[in-house]
Amino acid sequence: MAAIIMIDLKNVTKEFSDTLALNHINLHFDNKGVFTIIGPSGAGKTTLLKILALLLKPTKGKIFVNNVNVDNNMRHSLRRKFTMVFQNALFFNSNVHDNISYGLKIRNLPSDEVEKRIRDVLKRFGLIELEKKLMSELSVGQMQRVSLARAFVLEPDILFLDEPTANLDPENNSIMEKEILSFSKTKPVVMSTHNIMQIYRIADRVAFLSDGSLIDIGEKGILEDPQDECIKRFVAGETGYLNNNC
Amino acid sequence: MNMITEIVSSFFEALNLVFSGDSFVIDIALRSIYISGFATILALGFGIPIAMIISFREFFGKNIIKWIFNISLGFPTVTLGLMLFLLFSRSGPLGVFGILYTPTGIIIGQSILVTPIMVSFSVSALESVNPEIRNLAKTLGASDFQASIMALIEGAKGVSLAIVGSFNRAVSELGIALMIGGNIRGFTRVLTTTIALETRRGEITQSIAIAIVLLFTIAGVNIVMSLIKRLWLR
Repeated sequence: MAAIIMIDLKNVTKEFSDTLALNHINLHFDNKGVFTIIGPSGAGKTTLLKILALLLKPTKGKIFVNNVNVDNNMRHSLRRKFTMVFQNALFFNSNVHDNISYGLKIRNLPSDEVEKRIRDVLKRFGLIELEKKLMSELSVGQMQRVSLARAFVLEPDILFLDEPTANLDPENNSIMEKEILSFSKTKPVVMSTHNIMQIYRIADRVAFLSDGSLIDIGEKGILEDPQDECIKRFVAGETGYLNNNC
Repeated sequence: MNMITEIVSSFFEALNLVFSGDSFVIDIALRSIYISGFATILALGFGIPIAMIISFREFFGKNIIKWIFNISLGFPTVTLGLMLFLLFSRSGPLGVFGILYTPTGIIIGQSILVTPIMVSFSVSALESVNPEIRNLAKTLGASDFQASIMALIEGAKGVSLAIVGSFNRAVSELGIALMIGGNIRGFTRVLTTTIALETRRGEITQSIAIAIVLLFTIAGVNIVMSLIKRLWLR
């Protein structure tokens, strides 16, 4: 089994024109399991995931992967080991098979290997009958299952999920959580979510983000008796909290 | 015979000329398609990379470049024809290449004319593609270039409009074909220059016939592109 990938963020700040999305974030991942990033809307969860997945560059600060400072030349090769699933099922304007095969084809894998992996993942996610359907013909739940299948088929070393189960019905939610847990037994999963119950079900560690700053980080137990007022309100699900007024 | 009757009569004679496969008409039509098609392909060759850079990169002066291409959409063909005539004429800086009064000269002129259409329409199409598509391709392992190609494929419907628009503009322009091509029979004579010539000579039937061929050519290319869109760009 490949060694677990280690990622460190050192004082990472991300600014978009006049908005501070992330403010001096320090994080360390070196373990399998599900690491969840929680916080209100606009807290910077998606930006943090994109920086971790090497899709965005920090304005300030550094990213280290296996203790090596990530520079521009390394980004592409590292991204082949990382895969991110986006919040709103994002897909190419083609059918399920072509969407899932894209990542395998650009890796120039032999066609029999591509087809074998696609068969396996279609079966695993209950997508066999949808293989030739256009993505636009699928339900939201089916689209999100394809998104996860498209990521799993690449057998990444680390998986980044941006609210992967948002807006899903219980059946699709259950399929997704089962697969995420299965993956996390051997490799790390970094996932953002709003769903407190989901955190209790599948998370191992939790980081709480608000206004681009990391408020707390630890085992999911930090949510049971939170010391910070922001986290208390988030857990209690107080109305108005989602306006990010910590 | 009054004017209206003459036009109607000419119209039917023109249709007869078109559908009887008149070799003179076919020769001019094929030359027009060849010259304008080649000009469109040339414009596609350098217009799409420019459009991709403008759409997918952030750089200083980007909006100014977009603005320049946008205002160039209405560049008068006669003005461009005059500028190229001065460049290509024997005493001009590019006179040594002997391009004036050749199909190559018209191809170059028309490709310059339609490049702003290719770039502006393509930029508009590519900018309407979800910007996250490039991130999606990258997170599935694509390089920056492969991700840009994927975004280009996603915006292909809009880009196909740019191609059709460019061809239509090229095949229907007169200024460059006349000033750079010189309307030499059997060599640089194209549909638009023939219409101008035949009208000036009072050959209204011939003019209308060629005008119909021009319209059919434009319609034909549009139909072919629509079929391509329907078959390959769902």
